[in-house]
Amino acid sequence: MKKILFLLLFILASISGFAQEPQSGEMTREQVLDMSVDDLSQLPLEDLMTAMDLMGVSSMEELTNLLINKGMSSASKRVENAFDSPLSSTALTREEIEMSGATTIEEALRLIPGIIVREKTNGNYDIHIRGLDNLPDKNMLIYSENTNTLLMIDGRPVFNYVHGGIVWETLPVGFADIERIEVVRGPSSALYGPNAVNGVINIITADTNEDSPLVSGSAQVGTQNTYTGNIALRQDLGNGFTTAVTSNYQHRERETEEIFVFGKENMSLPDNSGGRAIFNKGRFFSLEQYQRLVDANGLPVADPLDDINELFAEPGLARENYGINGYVSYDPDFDASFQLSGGYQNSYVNTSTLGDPPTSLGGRKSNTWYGNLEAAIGRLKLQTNYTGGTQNFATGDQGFKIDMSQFNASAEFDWQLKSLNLRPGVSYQSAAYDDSPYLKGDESGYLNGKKDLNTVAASLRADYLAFGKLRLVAALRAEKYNFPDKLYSSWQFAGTLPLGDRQRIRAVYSRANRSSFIINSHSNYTWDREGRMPPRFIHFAGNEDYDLMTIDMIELGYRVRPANNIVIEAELFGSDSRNYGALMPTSTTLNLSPEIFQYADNPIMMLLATQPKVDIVYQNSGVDARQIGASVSLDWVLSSKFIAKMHATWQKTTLQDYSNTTRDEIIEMQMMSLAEQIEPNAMNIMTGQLTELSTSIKPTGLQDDVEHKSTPSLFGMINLIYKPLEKVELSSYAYYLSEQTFVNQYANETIDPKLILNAQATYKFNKYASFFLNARNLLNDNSNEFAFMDNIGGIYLAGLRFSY
Amino acid sequence: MKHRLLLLSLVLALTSISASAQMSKFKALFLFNFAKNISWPENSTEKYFLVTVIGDNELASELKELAKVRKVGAQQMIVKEASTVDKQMDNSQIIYLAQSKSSLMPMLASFQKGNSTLLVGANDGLCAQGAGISFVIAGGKLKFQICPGNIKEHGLTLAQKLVYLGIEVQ
Repeated sequence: MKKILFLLLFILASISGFAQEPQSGEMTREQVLDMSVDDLSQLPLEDLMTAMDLMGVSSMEELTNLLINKGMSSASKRVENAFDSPLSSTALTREEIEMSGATTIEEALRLIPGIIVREKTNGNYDIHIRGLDNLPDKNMLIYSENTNTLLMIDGRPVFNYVHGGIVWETLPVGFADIERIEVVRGPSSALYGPNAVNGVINIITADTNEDSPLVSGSAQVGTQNTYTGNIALRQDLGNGFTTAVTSNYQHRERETEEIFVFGKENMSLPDNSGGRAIFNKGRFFSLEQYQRLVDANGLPVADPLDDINELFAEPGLARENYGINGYVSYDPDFDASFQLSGGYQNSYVNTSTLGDPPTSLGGRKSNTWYGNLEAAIGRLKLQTNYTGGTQNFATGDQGFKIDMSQFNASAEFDWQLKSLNLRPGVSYQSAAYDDSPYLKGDESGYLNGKKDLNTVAASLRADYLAFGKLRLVAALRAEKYNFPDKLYSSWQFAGTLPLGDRQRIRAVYSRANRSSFIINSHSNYTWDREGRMPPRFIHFAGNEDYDLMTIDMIELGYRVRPANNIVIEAELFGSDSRNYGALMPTSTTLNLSPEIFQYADNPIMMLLATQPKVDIVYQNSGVDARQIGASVSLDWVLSSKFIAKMHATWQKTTLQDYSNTTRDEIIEMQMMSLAEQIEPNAMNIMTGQLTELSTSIKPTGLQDDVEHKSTPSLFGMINLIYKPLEKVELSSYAYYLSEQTFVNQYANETIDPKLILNAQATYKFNKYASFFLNARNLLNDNSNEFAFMDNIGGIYLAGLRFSY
Repeated sequence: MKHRLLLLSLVLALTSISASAQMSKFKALFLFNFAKNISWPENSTEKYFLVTVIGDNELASELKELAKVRKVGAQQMIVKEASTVDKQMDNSQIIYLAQSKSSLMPMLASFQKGNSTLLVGANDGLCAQGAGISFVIAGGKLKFQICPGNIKEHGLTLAQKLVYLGIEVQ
């Protein structure tokens, strides 16, 4: 009912836009067409503007302006023509997103070259720029999260500093907020700080001005109980003040209520007649079946301490979230501007787990709020923001609910001295997380208190035009972290040379690094595995002194505009990244007593009786990833009725010093090593002289030149837009992912290549409202895009878009 | 088949040329009107009214055609073309920076600091980088943003009508 009321509001708002369009002045288009340049030049400016309005900007000109001559601010921190950007970068405008029919911001990123977008459950995505995903592999699913891309909204980081990565559903903004999305590919820490390892995604929200529609937005309803809505109210208040309020909502359901359970050898499901079905591979089970599954030793697969109804309160729900935002802007008479924004979001999703259960699916709940102030006073740019709230990263799992607070402050000075632009800056960031308010009694969280990460940074960017042509950019940044207590530097050197007006060649060499994350530095979680296969306890500990993941990249780029309506871009890139890390076993300890020998005829029971304890500590894994790749993209406004866009990226990643051992295999190796020592030490144990055995053995032998197959080697998109009539627009895009093989500590899965065809047909009633039919995965290829996650079939929607 | 594709490409290219030619014509007329509605200090005006166009041959051609039939007050309009920003354009009354060269606006503003020059950009956001006026396309119409502060900084006086007809930005 709530959803229907919500949609009704949108529809009512749009109906008010069906009024007649205002008429133009007295001059007619025919008269203007008959006028010579001499005649037109004699018109006063106001009449010339009327004449221009009558002629209108041709659709071709408008489309070319929109798609070919885009502005881009993230690559140089000031607006420039995207064609001149010194870095590999792309701007995606609101209009392009609307034309594509994308139903989420995440899906819209499929339109941008170099981005891998894989849907996990309806509306929840894995997103990586160029790859380097799931490193190190053979570990928990959490290491498949993208910790290499910094996401920002108007320069405000929206980043999960607990685990690293982007919690996409916690974006408070929707399509109604967005002016464009800018993506910079390649290491960009020198510009934006840590975690811009493989690039930056900067969502730029729309300015409000006197031309802004009072009400704008969209709403759509579709299969799989999919509802989405966006609305914005904007008002120019005069005297330099503008204001806006926006809201967005999504409700999406899964096609199934079953969950994927990782396979165990001879895992079985007892039936009512005393028999049992054996499963050696992972597959989807109902919740009821999951609770009955047992392993080869008859021990339950599910954690007996878990409450299944808390873990999966709504297993059929994929995503439900809403956000509310407010914006106030003030442009005084003097050389300054101020923008204040704030908002709130509430979200609940079922997607890949951030915990370590036997299932791939987990729930995540967040309610967060933010305030952001940007001020430009002369050439000084100031920004400060705060994000607070509560996030439960694994609903129903003890210790995953955390209070968060993030504070950022930065100052930059934009100093132009003839051909040289200098931009010195300083910044401070503090991220604090506290799980103690949600721990009852002797419950263990994985922080057990308030923990923080602080960073102080200084940067300088120089942009110089030599000989009136050759653009040289150098950016340097030094960052001091509290954990690890180290100083890191990052840099970016770029050169762009125009070959006439229509071609650019460019080169980049850059270095970037990740920051530390709370679980890497501060984990302090004891997992009591009572009732399950040994070990009995696993303690996860942070490490305050390790090396941050760092990447070096070289890139060569070429852009050409063979005609005003075409842009072609090609780039080659190669990178070397190292200092990956993971929570990995360091040692295993057995508690020994004479009582353990009562289980002498049952080795498993004997091992259980020793209550094995494994110490897992965050540590560098040693693996080195080398990636080479190439991207090509094309934007072509063929005519006012036909637009074609495409991009494709090929990449290959090879691993050096690769360990082919899973976390659990190391634990097993250590426990077996200790178990073998029990019998030779039986006398000492029986007499109480030996009460503990411990080992830190690890597998030896690392492999080189191992191909990393988690990242598809080829991915890209073709988008065609056809406007056969003034009021009709047909748009279709196909997104392709080649084969990929995902490896984690429990299983491997090879995912076949997938071509996802999407289409949208729009009928524009008038300039105020349009109706559309939208198909995501039109051909209903009902297969999964991400390992161990849902099959993503077709979703068919109908909706309204309005602007008044 | 090859011939048909060639023909199609030709038609599409011609469509593009025709559309941008019309836009250039109106931009030239707008520039001419800006010249009429802004006053330059006397010591900066000479016999000729110099307009420098950076990176837009089509607009420069339209302005040259216009210069054959119209004057700015009593001054003959001279149109010069350039491909980048340099000191040689210091005596220009108007400098127009094409969209493909918009990245040069902060540099142009720095070079022209203190000169009696109207800096005109071709796309949104350039007033924040020093342009006095910048064209924008909004709602299928050609409009212009105007920053009176930037214009006055160059010692120019503008008719209030320009502010009224444009989109004022600070």
